[in-house]
Amino acid sequence: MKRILGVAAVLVVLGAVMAGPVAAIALPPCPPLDPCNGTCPILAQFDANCYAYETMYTPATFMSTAGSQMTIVGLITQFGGPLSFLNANDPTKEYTFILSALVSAGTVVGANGPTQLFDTDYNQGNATFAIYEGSPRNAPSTPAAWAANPFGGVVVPANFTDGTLILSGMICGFHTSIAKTGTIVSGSFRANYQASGGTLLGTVGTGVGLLGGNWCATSGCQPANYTAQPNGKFDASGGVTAVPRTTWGRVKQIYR
Amino acid sequence: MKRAALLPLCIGASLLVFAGTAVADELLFAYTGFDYQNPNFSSTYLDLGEGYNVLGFVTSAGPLLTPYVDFSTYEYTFYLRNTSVIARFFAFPNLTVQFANGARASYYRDAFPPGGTAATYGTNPPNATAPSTFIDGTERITGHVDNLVLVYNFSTNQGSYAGNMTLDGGADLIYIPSSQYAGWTLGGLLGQPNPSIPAGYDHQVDGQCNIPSATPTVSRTWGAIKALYR
Repeated sequence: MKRILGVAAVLVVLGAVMAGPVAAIALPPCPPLDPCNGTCPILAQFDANCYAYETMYTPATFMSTAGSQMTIVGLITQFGGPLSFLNANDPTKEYTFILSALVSAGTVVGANGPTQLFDTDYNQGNATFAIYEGSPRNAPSTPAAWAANPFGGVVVPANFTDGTLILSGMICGFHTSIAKTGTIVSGSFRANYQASGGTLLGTVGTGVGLLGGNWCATSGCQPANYTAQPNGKFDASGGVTAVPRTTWGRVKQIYR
Repeated sequence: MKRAALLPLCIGASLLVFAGTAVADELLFAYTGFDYQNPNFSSTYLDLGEGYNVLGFVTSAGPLLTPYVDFSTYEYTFYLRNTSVIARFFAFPNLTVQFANGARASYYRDAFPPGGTAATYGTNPPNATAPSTFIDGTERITGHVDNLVLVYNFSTNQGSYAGNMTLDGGADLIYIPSSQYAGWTLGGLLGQPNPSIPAGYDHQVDGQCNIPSATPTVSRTWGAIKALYR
């Protein structure tokens, strides 16, 4: 009896080992983008000072291992739409953001003619975003400062998550696409986002908007210890009518 | 006397500066906008001989240009043009397009506000305002773009482009050291569904122009230099 149970136990263990890697989690489709009244304007733009860091990624081959966790931090350079009253260039303030819990499903390699393609879904976790207004400015904003502050140190990501949380929510369907044709490398990223928290939630609304832009993963785009440099924006969303800011004087004028 | 004269020369030459290892590229400027085909004589997207254009707004400047840009007083715009498809590879859902060398990319400055004209995308470009209202200021930086490649995935509805951009003109070229002229331009493309794209444009574009960083120098002693040649 004991021998039969022992054999059964071994068989169970062997079955678990031989099952192979855990399959990617099948997720429901992302909620569709909400149309705007006209074209959707920029909500928040980010450019050079934005970098991604990933736990299991090989920069030389653009390969992300399944389960790799990516975090993106950056500085907002411009606001628009319902957030146009915010001034990203105010020297007394710093607007930062973080994208978290971007879990990789593993890079899929393809080809088309002379082009190698590297596509990665980061949709295996509950990805979120958060935008902060802080003071004074303390996040890296020069190449030297980024190079001196690798992810996981005292500055990054801490100095991108200090201050007042002005907007937060979920990210769905984050996807990067890198293409290599000879020595020419290019890339993009795309996701849907939906706000659900922050002091300015009532101003922005809870519609589903587009997040995306350029994804530079080739050497020369990012300092050591970072894996890519995104350059893009959150577009304003339609859907729920956001509450615009105004003054009491303007409100009174409406009724005169 | 000779020894005394030689001493300050040796001291003066004891600390020499040499070029060190190159570092990562630096941002020249970043832009966001939309793209369209022109000429566009075929229903096939970017068919052989067709042209690809990008119009947009400069959203930030890198360290070399930052002292000379003022977004509160001027409107800065971007224009990529003079492209022509010379090779096309399509196997659904992936498209790769290669363009002839000699495309042009520029950024412009217009005194809007208070003067000048607001750059306006309109619909179905080229039209009465695009590209004209994006290029009616002064051309600040321009360059030729070679080895331009565009890729697009019609399932994920996203793509990208990149090419080598060599700066060769514009009023602000004087602020760029000639050793940093050979840069590159790249952009990410987001297609439909995308409620930000005006009618007649194809994709939303987020891009940037990068140039090589200035080569840093390292200090070496005269003795270390002599050791190299022993």
